[in-house]
Amino acid sequence: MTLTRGAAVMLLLFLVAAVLVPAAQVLRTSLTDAEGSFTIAYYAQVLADPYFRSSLIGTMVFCAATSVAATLLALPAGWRIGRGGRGAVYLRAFCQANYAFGGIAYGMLVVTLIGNVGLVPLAEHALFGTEWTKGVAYTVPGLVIAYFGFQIPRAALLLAQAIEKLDPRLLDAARTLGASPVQKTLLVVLPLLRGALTSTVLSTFLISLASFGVALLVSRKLTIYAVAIYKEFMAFSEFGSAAAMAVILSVSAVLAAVAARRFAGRTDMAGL
Amino acid sequence: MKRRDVLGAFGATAVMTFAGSRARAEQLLPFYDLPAKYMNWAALGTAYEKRTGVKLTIDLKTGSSTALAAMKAEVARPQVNGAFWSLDIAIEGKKAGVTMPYKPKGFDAIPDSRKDRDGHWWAMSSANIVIGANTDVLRKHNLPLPKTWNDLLKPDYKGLCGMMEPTYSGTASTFAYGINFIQGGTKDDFTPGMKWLKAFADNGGQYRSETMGPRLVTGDVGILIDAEGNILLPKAEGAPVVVIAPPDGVVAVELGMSMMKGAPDQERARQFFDWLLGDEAQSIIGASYFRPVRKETLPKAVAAELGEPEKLIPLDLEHEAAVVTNLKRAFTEIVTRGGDLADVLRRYRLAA
Repeated sequence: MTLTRGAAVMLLLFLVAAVLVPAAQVLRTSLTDAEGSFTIAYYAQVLADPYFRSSLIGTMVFCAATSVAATLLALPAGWRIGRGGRGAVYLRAFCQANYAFGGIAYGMLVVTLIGNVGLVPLAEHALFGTEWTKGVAYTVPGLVIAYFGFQIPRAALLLAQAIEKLDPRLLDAARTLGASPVQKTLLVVLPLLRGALTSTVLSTFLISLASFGVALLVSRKLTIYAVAIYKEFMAFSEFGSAAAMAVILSVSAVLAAVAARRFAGRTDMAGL
Repeated sequence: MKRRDVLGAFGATAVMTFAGSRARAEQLLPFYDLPAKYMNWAALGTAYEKRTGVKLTIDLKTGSSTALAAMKAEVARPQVNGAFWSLDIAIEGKKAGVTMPYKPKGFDAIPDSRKDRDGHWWAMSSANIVIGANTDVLRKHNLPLPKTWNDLLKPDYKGLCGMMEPTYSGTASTFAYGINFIQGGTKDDFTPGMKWLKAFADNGGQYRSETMGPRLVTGDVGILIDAEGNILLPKAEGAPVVVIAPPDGVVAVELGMSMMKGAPDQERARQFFDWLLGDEAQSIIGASYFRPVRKETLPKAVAAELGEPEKLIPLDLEHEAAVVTNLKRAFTEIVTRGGDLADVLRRYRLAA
């Protein structure tokens, strides 16, 4: 008992030091003008700017759409990992390895694969003499592929956890009652996984909003909000508006999460 | 495991981590930003470590402007001893109050126009900003080498060109400033330069956030606007790249150092600054195809390879520093966000 309580206290202290203190600092910066007095000017300025507004909306829409698509695309892999079967172990290891490619490293990987001289366009040119895939990394479809690259494996692992816990008797019962595989999937599996699907979409959405390295390297057509924040901070030393934008992004993320939860109408969503 | 043991283990780990970082910190001398593949900082770092045992922080940030932002944010608790940056940004740094004076050995030999009278910044080298081309890529597309800056705007070269983001990189911001004068603009009117920068993007030219020399070597971009040395050094090492100094005009980026205000390790920082202007460092810079501020240290063979451009357009550093922030803002609004060119330039007082 004492050990658990000790660990909990440690975790709490760690959270305060590593999350709350920096977050409070960001909040303070966003509300303090150059003379050190209170201001909401940074928020007003950032929210009034049509470019930043469309970047925020574009980023939310992009992350939401790709998260939904990625979660659906992750279902077969999640099923295989969760139910076992040939290759499940390797599939799980592959999905887990994805965590090793954080931020910039992942962006580099995307450039190496589908950049102007990526491995894919080079192979395409050698095989077919065409150059369709050249520089795809820098287009919106390329950005989708790049995001799928880290969204699908992570979503698959999240789904696998829920699929592991599915009651096999329900599936057996469905089969015994004469349900076809399609019927079984649509009428039994998906309703059972509804909560897990929603929470996976949500987790993936939040991970995507926080993703930065990939977009910094490859996003050209769409200004990802995190990159816009980076530019305000690093290129223009506008700490106040960068901090305000960071707060706005965080609040939007929380609001979106709450809204999605309401929408799903469920309280049993793991992790949130 | 008892709670005491757990706490003890935490404590021991913390102490060991702290002690380890202390030991490493004593050999490490942090600076913003010494990119391995820019001016061959990799070689400078190796040479300095060999001579003194002091390790430099290579590749911390991505450019002069990012270095300045970090120093502004950290000025109350300096994390680095100084910066290597383009001098337009260095002047901004002095104005922002993030630098402190030092006059390294050899300071007197630097021409007055290339140093701050009080020693807040001084030139170490310069580089002409030129067009680099990957000959393999151009051959694949059956394209001739571009000859002028305006060639890069032709549909032939669509999607092949790139350079660093002027909002991050000092070389790129110097070019964004200088192209205006190459294109016939004046200090009162940046319309010609901004039109060129926008047309470059419209023709598929990319403004990128990473050090670009290596991207030209691999052919990720076929044509690169960069400091000449970042193209000539890989060329000397066998890469299929060439340098073109357009006859319509070339500008140079002035590169130098500053000491950070309240630098944590001033003694060793000063020794490092002295070394950078000494024979060893200056000849490494020369051998890396950058133009050392002490011209006599430039190897003859390198001087021949570098050559002199037909038309070098001198830049007014003070003026550049005074407008560069607005220029970067205007660039972002016009080129990145598609704002109205005339309106934005007028708003930033960069055109009438």
